[in-house]
Amino acid sequence: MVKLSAIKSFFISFGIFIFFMILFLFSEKRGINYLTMKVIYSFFLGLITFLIFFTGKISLYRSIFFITSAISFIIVYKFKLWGITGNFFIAPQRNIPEVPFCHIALTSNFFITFFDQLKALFLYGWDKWGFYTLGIVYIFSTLSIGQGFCSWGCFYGGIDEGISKILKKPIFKVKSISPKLRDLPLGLLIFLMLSSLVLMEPVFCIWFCPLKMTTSILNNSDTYIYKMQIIIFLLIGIIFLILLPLFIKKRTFCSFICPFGAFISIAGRINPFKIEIINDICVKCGKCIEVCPSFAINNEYKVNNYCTKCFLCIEKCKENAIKLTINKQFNVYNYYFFILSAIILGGTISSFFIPEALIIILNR
Amino acid sequence: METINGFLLGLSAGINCLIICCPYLIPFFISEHRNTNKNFGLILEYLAGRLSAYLIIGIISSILGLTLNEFHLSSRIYSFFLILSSFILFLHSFGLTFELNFLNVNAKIVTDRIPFLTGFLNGFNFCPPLIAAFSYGVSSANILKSILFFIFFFFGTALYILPFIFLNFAAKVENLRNAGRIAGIFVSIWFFIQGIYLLFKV
Repeated sequence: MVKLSAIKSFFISFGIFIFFMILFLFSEKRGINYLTMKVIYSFFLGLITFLIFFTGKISLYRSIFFITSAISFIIVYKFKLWGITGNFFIAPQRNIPEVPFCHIALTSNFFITFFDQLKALFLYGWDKWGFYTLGIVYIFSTLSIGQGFCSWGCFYGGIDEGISKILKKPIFKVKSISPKLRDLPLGLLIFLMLSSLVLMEPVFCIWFCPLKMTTSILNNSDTYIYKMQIIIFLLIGIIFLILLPLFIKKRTFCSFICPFGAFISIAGRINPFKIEIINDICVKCGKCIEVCPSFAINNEYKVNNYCTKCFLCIEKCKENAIKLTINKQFNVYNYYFFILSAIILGGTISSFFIPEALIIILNR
Repeated sequence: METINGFLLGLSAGINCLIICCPYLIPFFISEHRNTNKNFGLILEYLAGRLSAYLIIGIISSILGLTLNEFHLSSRIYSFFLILSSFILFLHSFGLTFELNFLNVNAKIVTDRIPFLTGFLNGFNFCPPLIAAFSYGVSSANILKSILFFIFFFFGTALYILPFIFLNFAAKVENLRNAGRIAGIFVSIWFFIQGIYLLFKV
């Protein structure tokens, strides 16, 4: 496990602070307010890095950063929606410009995105073409830490993680599930990609998204369909995003619904970072299976492709039998490479929300 | 002339067929790992099913001489076939996912027999290119010409379906096989709902 001296941790975290300060030089949003918030945000990232390296408690401080990112995202998005429509949830207008650059939508609507990009290319719509290309670059950038994106970079993931941390102990203990059930989001992803292609509309956003980022595109003209959409939206939101994470202390939306997690479990195979259990050391106590929030460890003590690299199992393993490997080789530097990559990726994505959320909070 | 016209119409509008057949074919082909030859055979069966449907449509269109507007039943027929094919896909996907036997018939045996039937049912999807082909059949008012037109229309569209053979590479991954079966269940439910909706909307 990674644990460094105060001086070494300070130098690494100072590097992160400087990195983000330089990054913000290229930022669009200027002014004294933004500058102050960017300094605070860079300091926050530096502090998280310092605490991770100094204490060795990767999971705890990752979680703080991750949940902060999700809360900030909700504040920024919903307040923008409020400013435009006067409503937090159901936006009456169409084409709300503030809909975030959503990775879940990008993957589940992959064929539509691809089709639109081709269309933009052939019709010389360079502005749109650039937008879609940016989306593809964004998706590819997530591959730098593979499925680790789900625990470090995703601004939705912190919602069910945050709710799963509310209670100290689970009300219902669910240790492991059938491996077939774990493939549910991958099946859903294939279905969404195909149905979106046939209908030429974002099926996930309209029917399944529990956050209803794009409520404005719900079908208001047909009352029956509209009611169905609202029921599904509420059911998925309440069950998978609130009740199940609260009661069983697992990330159920990410584990059973999220099409992006499914996408990256396949695409992320090219990523060399893997969590592995060393059978010779493992005493099969079951602790790792119990604490894994993503049902990523099966009863044979094998870590599957759905591991989000939250490091909780590594911290809880008393035998030190779980390691982070690169191409199946273990080295302590693996942790440094991964954590720094994850903080840079997650920090860059969250930089779009956290400084702005701070401004919104202070202004109110 | 019928041959060229039919082939060109199929070729130009075949992307529609590809999009409409995708939800059936992708879950079907990734749900089990087979070799390329086996997949090729299954695709041929599927295409033979579609060809049969097209021939029936071709004959009906030339005999009846009806336009699709008058032929108001088209949507109802399609919704009926949609519901039927959703049942087949559901039985296949559900059977494979939970390793169940239906009426003492192993799901795997049923699986290997369904491409023809699914192709046949999908062939009745009155998509824009098929409506165009149907109109041609009606205007020709000649059974032979109409059949010839539909056969070549079929060849034009079939070119888009053939690449599905190579999905066996995806089926090598166990997660994707499971996912294909689950996706099949979702697709069948979706088509069932769509079929019912269409049936009562007409």
